[in-house]
Amino acid sequence: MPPAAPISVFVARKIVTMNPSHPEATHVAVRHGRILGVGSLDELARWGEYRLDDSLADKVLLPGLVEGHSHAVEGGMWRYCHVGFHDRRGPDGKLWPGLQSIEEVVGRLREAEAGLGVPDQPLFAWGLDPIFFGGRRMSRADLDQVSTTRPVIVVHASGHLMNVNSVILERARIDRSSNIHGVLKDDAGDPTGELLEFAAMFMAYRVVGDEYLMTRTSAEGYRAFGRLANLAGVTTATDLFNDLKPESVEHLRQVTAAADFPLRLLPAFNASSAKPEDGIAKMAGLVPTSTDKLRFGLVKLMTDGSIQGFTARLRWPGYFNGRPNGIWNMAPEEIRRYVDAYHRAGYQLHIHTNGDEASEVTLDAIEAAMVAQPRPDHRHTLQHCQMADAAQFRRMASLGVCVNLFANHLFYWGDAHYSQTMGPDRAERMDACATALREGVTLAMHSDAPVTPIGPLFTAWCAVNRLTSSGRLLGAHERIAVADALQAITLGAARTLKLDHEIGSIEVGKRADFCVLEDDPTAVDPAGLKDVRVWGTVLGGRPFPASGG
Amino acid sequence: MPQAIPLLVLGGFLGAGKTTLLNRLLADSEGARIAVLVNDFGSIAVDSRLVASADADTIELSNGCICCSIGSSLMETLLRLLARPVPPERLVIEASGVADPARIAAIGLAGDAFRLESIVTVIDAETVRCRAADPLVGDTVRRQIAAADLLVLNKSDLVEAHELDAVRSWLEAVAAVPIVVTAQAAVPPALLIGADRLPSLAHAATADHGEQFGQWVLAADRPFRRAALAEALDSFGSRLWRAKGFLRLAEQPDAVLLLQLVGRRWSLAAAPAGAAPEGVVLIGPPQTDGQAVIETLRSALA
Repeated sequence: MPPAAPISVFVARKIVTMNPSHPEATHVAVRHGRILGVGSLDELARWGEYRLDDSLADKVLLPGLVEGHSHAVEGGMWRYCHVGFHDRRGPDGKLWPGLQSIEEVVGRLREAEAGLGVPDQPLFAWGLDPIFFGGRRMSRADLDQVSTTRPVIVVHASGHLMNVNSVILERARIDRSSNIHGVLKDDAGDPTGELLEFAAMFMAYRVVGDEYLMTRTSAEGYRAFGRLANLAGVTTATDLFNDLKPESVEHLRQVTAAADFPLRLLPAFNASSAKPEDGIAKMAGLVPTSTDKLRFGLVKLMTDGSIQGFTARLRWPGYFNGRPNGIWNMAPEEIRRYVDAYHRAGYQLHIHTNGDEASEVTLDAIEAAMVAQPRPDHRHTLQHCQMADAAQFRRMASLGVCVNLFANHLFYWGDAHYSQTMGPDRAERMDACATALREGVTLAMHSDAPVTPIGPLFTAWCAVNRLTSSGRLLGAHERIAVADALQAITLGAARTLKLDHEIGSIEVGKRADFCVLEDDPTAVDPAGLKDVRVWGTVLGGRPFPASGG
Repeated sequence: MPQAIPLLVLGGFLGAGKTTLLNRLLADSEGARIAVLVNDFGSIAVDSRLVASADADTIELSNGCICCSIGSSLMETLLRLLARPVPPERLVIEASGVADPARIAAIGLAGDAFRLESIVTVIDAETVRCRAADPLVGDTVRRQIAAADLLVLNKSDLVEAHELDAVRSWLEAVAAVPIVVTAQAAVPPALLIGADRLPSLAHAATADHGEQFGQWVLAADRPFRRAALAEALDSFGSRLWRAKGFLRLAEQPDAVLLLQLVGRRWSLAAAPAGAAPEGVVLIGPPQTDGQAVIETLRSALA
């Protein structure tokens, strides 16, 4: 036996353990990066010699927060200028204040433009959300104020639209004669510079190249994502859609192997990028190479589109504003085939289902797979699942399916859901956290970063308060208690990742992963949950202050 | 500025036979260096003797063709393709089994990278009517049919003759486009691509294609009248599948133009340098009265 490693004992103002048999404590002992004991100093001292770490003595510890549905691409995007309506923090901790008008957006772009070197280097920006600008749309004239010589591209928050300046329009040969749906035109028949959908956006990317798209799987991008997670108190996060190509796997290995990388990262394999048998073979090769900070094994399926983009598949009565039903990303028979194959092979599926028709088809597929091949504790998880009703939650409970709801949508798009996509009734029960808990479904909730910023405490605030960005209370009866919300962003999310035996609560034997807070989320006014200050994290017993110091 | 690359978008629901058709196309591209972008890379089966090199997402063939996996991003795949040192002569994109091919095809309708030549939708004769009526996927299937310039009614060998007739009549009612009936996706490559290199007029005039399709030639060095030509081309409907020709217009007698027609979509573009105005090759169903088609076209001559 090698000599036992030294023991560190962290003392905190309060430790909220999420372990109901020992809910609070003041000290936690750590050895080998794992939790040796939780209790008072007296109790822990019985383990023998220890080193007392009092650097967190005035902090509140929670289990390290778990983001069950995010995309590491957000890390790479911070190389570029952010022009969102809401405040957002970059990986360096810098606050990018929200921009309240097109003029403010143009102002920030001009600053960014001035900082670019080579005259022809394109200026990329992201996060524009014109729905908050009172009906005014950005035009090429706005972006021509930024540059008339350099290509300028501003991608919208949804990712499905962009605005470009005249330089791009000219180089892409997009003009009055461009009669495709995605090139928007003004009353005089000239392109406004707003491009939507695949074809029109392709023409713009063709001018500037694929650099912006490629940064998503760069090592630098993954590193930046680790910093973003750290700022939000997150110690475990998913990268929930990854082709796991050799180059990207190599970047993941390289980045997560570094001792100073503060995150456990779980990439989920984009199953539709390969035939099931090939994907299963690939997973079988990757899973044994997992490390404590890089876990392979999750499998992602995309079944439909988005509700706000009217591409989600809805059951009757469909979209509130009468738009036709959305589109499948995979045909229902493919969903059945992939679910069956990966279920049989023993993998855990995370399945994107936004509309309730997509959720229904997916539940049918899981049920059929379970009948064909019984498998205890599979924990297949419906992701987003924003429109599920009580009956669907009951099916999830009886099938052993978990859910990860998109609570941030309540704030960001709740008003649009109320007035356009779902109408009042269904909007008030969207992302029905209370129903999920009432029906006994394992619940997590998420940001879908970069769609909305990674920040589980904000996500918890959304589920607890259900306020839209205009201040509307959307579904009072679906609000959940702070304790339940904190559970969902720790142990609940850990259960959806099949890691609840390792993380998600502060108890003996688990990894010493903590979210370190300046304020006590169980004591603040629930309306202030999103403002609880994050000091940083502890990962495997090693403190990672968000300040970097 | 390089010439826009002719684009064929291949649509059709799962299992309709798109991959089989693409495998045939890669094996015999009629001499054209085509790039084929596919969803199911694993199902691409080309004769290994033809493979010049292969990696995780690209196969290069010794006949100059390449096949690329679309993976999770068609955008990135297209950008990578355009960045290759030698761009392909033609591009074929396989839309996913649930995609609306028109959405992808729009890249060939504006900008100058690609020029849409056709949207071809492959139909499974056995299942299409059932699927079109399905509450979950009916809208998807009907969108794919509506987007097509030419329909390939595949798997005709798997249904009884009267069923085939019924499917065919139903398709004619929902989409006014020409229909090619086939089995095992055995569509002649010339019908889909080969555009810039259709058999020479002399060869075309004498070729015997059995019952699969008819091929006719209008040899003409006189110019056409633009409006009359347009009217004639629009009038053929299901009688014509494909046409290609080098011709002149009375309105611009100095320019030699390339005529391309696939199903209901046709275009006139500048012909490659050195092309002579020799006439038009026409391909259609074997039962078409080729002489009547030629006469209609002849009447559009100046």
